[in-house]
Amino acid sequence: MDSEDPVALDLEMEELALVLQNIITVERTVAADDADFLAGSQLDQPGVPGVYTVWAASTLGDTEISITLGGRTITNAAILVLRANSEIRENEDTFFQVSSPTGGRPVININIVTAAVVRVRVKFLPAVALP
Amino acid sequence: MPAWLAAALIAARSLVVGTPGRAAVTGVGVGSLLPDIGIPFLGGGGDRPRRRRRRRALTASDRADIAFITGLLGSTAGKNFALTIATRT
Repeated sequence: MDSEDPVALDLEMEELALVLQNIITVERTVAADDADFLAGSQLDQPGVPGVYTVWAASTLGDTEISITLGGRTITNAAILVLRANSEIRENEDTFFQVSSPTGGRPVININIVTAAVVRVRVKFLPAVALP
Repeated sequence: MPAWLAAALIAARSLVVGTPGRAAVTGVGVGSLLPDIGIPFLGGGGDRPRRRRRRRALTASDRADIAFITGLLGSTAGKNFALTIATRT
């Protein structure tokens, strides 16, 4: 691991592996507007503080995403990445990240302007997973 | 390490690291962030920084009295009066 990595400085490989094992991922595709992507998912009621990372991609270039958490707007009507088969490239695409100190979860609204297939991926890192 | 993961780890750490120093600076510690578990007076959820009340030699009322006497009878009388109330038991 790169010794200049600010996180790696005090996080051993074994500890990092344990942290990664605690990440919860929710991913699915939607073909119609979705006002609350996480509703009914495994991350519907996490109940613990943590950090949410959100990626989304669409097969058309006019799909919008809005994210709010606890009355705070993370993004409003941002245009999703346009890519065939709504493929998500985690290390390449723009992502939205929000921390939840109280255990609430973000509300992700997908607005499909023109008919498209949208893929949304949410990864939740519980803060309690950190050593 | 991917950028998103590094950012997530840093953000998560800021949520959970409840060192006494951080709690003293921010007023937020682990106990304030996590749900209360257990009996509150045994420490569940209560790592707020302690506030110390500064011990004052004279009360605000005493100071007002000294000012009144000094203004009425002069600085010497004010000093004597201040010494009197400062040495009272």
